[in-house]
Amino acid sequence: MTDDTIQPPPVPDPPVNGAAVRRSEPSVVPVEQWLAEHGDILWRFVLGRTRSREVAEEVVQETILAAMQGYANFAGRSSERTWLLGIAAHKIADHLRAERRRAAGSGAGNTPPRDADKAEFHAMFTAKGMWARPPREWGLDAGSTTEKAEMLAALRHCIDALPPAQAEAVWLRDLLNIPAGEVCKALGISPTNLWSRMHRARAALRACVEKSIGMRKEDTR
Amino acid sequence: MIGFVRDVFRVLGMPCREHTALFSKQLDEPLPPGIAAGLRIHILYCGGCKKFRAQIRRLRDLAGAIGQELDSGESMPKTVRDGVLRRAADQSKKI
Repeated sequence: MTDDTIQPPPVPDPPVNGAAVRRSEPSVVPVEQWLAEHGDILWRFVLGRTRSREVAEEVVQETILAAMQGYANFAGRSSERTWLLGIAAHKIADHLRAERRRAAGSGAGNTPPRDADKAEFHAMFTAKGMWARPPREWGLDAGSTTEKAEMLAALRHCIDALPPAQAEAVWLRDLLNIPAGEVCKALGISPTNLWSRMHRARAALRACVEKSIGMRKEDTR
Repeated sequence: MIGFVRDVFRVLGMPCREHTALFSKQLDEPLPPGIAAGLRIHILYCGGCKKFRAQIRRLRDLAGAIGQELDSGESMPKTVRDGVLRRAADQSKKI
């Protein structure tokens, strides 16, 4: 039974030559074992999120270096794999935020305004919280492999478009199927924070996929 | 029993916006029986919530399918692995 208390972030990004680094014993940090046991899933996760081999390589390296520095504080609060994936999720989110800032600064990106997903979600309801724009019937054939492939493509695109903090939660929870309690520990967030992120993310994904389907299908409502 | 009935009525009195949050939470952990029962009753007469619940469940299943594809995905390339070990060794020397 896991407790529901707020856990501190597992890896606080200590200074490179700080005391926390000196305290840990480098010879017992099992980097080769990490790579042997979790290297492949780590690589697929990071590559899937960044979609760039060059960036993925950098992020994986940063993840392992941060894990080496934080290993003394790891203490087995979550599984080693979840812990490493959580560090990677933070590194990916840092990278994507920086990339979006650069794109916004150069005017090259079309980053949606902050909290656009929240505004869109609230627009679905009246002031009293009842449905103003209820979900449409998707009218898809659940058994059709073509339609499933279309939905998967739409979902991938929509996950990529989520704010990084929501995307990292969705990846760990729904794609990698890590239990919610473990995801909280890996990301260093409270259960309430995770539920809030997941709810916003799922509502945004639902609306995004619906829009994507709507471009090809008649509204059958 | 009193708690169960109280939870059922609490859910039935909520606006749909709050029901959507509970449908999402239900994908992450079991809800108290009265809350879950209230939601089951609510979707008998609320088409919007019924579709919302079905659609986020479907998307969660599809997300799981994307995750499963990762299991048969590309292994970490040797060059990446060697690069990680090199940097890890450099860091160990600094310590």
